[in-house]
Amino acid sequence: MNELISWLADLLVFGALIMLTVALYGVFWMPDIYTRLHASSKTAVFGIAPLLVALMLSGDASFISRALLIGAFILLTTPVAAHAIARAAYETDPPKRIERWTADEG
Amino acid sequence: MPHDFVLSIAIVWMVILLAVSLVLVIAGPSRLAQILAFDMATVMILGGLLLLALSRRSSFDLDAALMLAIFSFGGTLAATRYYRKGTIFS
Repeated sequence: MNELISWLADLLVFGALIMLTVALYGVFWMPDIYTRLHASSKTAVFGIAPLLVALMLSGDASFISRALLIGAFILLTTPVAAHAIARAAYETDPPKRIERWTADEG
Repeated sequence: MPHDFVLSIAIVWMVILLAVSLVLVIAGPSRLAQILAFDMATVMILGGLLLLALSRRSSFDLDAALMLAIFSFGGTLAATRYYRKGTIFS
């Protein structure tokens, strides 16, 4: 049982690293600031959360309480920071052309 | 707790990700992309601190991680406000 928890924690650590790699590749590769935000803000949360779950698997109360606190804080502040960056981009240099897409226009 | 060799590989990988994001901080195409890359760099340092806490089995690194999360959030907000208005406190 203890060995199983260790392998599960290994899997969570590698999942987190793959998520963070995908996030950084998206930030490197996307052409626009909005699409860069789209790549970073979601995957950053899902890259930190498996590490926190791997910390919680130890079963110690000090790890669990601090991991819950960090998880709640990341979950609250990452969208706010992404919104601040997007708002700064939109106010200083608005996008030139925004077309509304509807389904019946094909 | 994960195995030790997995944690070694993971810490090296996280340091490589941190180096790439620091290169993006310098070479971003615009100022806001640089701010975003700096935010990503703090996320990478946060993940590295969590891996360090897993590796050393100490919960004190998590306090440092929480402080880093708070300060990076404030730093991102201050940088975007400076970009938008030219000043932080108006």
